[in-house]
Amino acid sequence: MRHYSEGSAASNGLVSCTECACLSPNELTRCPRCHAKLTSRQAYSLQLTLALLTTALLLFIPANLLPMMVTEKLGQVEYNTILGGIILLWKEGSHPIAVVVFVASVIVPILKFIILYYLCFCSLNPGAISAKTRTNLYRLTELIGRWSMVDIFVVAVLVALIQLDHLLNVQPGNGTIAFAGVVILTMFSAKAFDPRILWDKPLTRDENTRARN
Amino acid sequence: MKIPVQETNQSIASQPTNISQRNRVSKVWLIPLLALAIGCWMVADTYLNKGPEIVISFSNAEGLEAGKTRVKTLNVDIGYVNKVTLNENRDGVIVHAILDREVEDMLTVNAQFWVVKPSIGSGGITGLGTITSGSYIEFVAGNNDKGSLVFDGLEQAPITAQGVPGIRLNLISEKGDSLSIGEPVMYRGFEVGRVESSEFDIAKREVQYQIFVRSPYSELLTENTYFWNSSGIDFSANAQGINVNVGSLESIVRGGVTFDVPTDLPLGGAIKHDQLHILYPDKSSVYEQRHYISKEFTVLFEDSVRGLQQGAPVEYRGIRVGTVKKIVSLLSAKDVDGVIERRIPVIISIEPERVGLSNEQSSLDRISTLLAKWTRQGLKASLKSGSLLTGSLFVDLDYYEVKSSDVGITVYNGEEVIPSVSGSLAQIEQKVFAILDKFEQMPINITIDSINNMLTNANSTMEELNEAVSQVRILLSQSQTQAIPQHINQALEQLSTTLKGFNQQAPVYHELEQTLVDFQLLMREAQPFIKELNNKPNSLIFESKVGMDIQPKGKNNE
Repeated sequence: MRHYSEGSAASNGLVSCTECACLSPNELTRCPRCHAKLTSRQAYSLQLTLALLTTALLLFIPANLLPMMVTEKLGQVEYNTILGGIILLWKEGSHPIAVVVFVASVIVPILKFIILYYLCFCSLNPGAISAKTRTNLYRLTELIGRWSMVDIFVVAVLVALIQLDHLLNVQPGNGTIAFAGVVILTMFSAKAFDPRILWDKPLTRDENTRARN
Repeated sequence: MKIPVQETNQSIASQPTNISQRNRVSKVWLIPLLALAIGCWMVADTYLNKGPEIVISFSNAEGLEAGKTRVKTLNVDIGYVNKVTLNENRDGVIVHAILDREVEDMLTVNAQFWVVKPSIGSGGITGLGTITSGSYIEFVAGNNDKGSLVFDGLEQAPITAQGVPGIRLNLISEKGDSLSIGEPVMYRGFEVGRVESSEFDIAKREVQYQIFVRSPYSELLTENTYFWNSSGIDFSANAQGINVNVGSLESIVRGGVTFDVPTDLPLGGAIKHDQLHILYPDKSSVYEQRHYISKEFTVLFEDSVRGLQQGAPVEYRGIRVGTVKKIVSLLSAKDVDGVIERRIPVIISIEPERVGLSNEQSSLDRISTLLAKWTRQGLKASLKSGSLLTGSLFVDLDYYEVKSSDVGITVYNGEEVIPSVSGSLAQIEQKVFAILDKFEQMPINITIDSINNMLTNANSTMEELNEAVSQVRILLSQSQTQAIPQHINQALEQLSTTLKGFNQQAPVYHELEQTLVDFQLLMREAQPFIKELNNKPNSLIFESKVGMDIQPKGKNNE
């Protein structure tokens, strides 16, 4: 159980619509303006976020181990993992592209994991950082989240464009599915995270035990 | 963890609310559990279905790349090269490959692995596909039941796939010839097998070939089968003249081994697999150098042996009876008398089978006694020219007049010696030399000098002749000379007028005729007188008596 922070809608017996930001009394179950379902706090938000995030983390392992792209160049089949591709790009001198791919495919998902886990942690143990930083971090995950899909798009475009049979063709590897899973799951995870709990104060231990009784 | 629930009453938010006893743990946790379970299952499955890891040793890792090079059988991908390392002795490479689980039972002791790479050989271009796709390791299962995970890679693709029925034979050849792996084995121009390997035996200094003749052609191989090299063009100049053997176009380009049973031999039983067979350099040598048993004899030749080659035939009136084995340069060997032997010893072998004896050891003694008998009857060896073009010689045996000085078979250096005579070529040579000597003795210089003199004389004569001609010309050009024909004409005209006087119509002619008639008359009258005078010359003085006429008489009147 938690304390709603002062000035929040919930502490004033109101509920804010997540769709249209309309404030309504909290006894209403549907927003009078947009008829969206009203909840003061999303049920199981944190659990859902954590579960999806953990699944994404599990998928992140095969996403990096399995080949993303299977290139057949003059009959010679090459299997490229994400990191392998980045190293290859770097070695071949395409440093900027290597950096872009590295940021989009490695840094961004990892950053997202860290931030979301940290936010979940913060919602249970507030006070570590200020509410404003937490808010900014949450905004950041929303902002960067979509960019990790770049990799999947590249593969999808290449597969669609480069089909010259044995001369040169590109096939998606199993890693693509895993990586797409990672990206989608982290996006859902970020979506499932109800930012309003960021500003709530959890109960102290005493209050907690009291509440149980 | 506490979950905020929607409160039904409008209580103050800061107050702890009543909690309905709902599940504290969301069902959503099933998702990561499921993901974990699937992940674990996949890992376990991969691990359990992981195929066998095999170790293949190669001499080098050309074209092999860890993680990229595939292992294929019948061009089906069955695995990949995992790791390439040097072996312990650092003189080769060890290739670790991970194969699919389903080929595990194919990994038997004599399974074969080799690297397929593009190569252009006499047999055509192979492995063309690997130019673009890179080399791969080809794998052929063994026919043994015993499994193995350690293999020795082949340097080259095996010529014959394993399990093909047929016969493998080992051939030896003293010459390097030109057989290379993969060349065809032919039977009367039909390809029935392949040369599988060729190795040079350093100790024996000969080349060993392994050939494979596939079934059902392997039945053509019998005990009396002989093998020869049918590579390319065989050009040889020997005592038999110039011999050019040209095989089929394919064999010119690629060479090959041909086998057959010589026409003068029976087929015989099954061929002996374990025995080494001789690979003859060409077809004719099969007939010439076949392994006859032979008895060696020495012939001491007075003549030059230039042109006599080892392997030259020994003939008796055109029938081959043996072979020249060796031309000994043992000139310092001393005769029995201590006199230095000037004749050149040539060792020849007489093959009893060629003179109609059986090909057995007992024939050797028999040929010895026979030759002793024959030499007593005048059999001698001589060098004869087999071919004037190449100047090669052969040894000819023939009967010559028996002389009192003949000794029959003698012994020289422990070998029986067949007596020899100067060869026909040497005799011709002597004659030619004699003629040349005569030429040499001719006073050619003097002759030439006199010819020269004669020519100078002739020259002066010609000059004189020239002079005379010019004088004649001057003479002719004179007006008197030119008048001569006119004079002659006049003379002729006068002659013809003279002759006209004796014409038939002329009176002189008539008179002459009359005179002749008179004379004839006179002569007729004078005839009886002349006759009388003839019979009786004295009738002018004495009167002649006319005798009685002779009367005819009969027989009975006597």
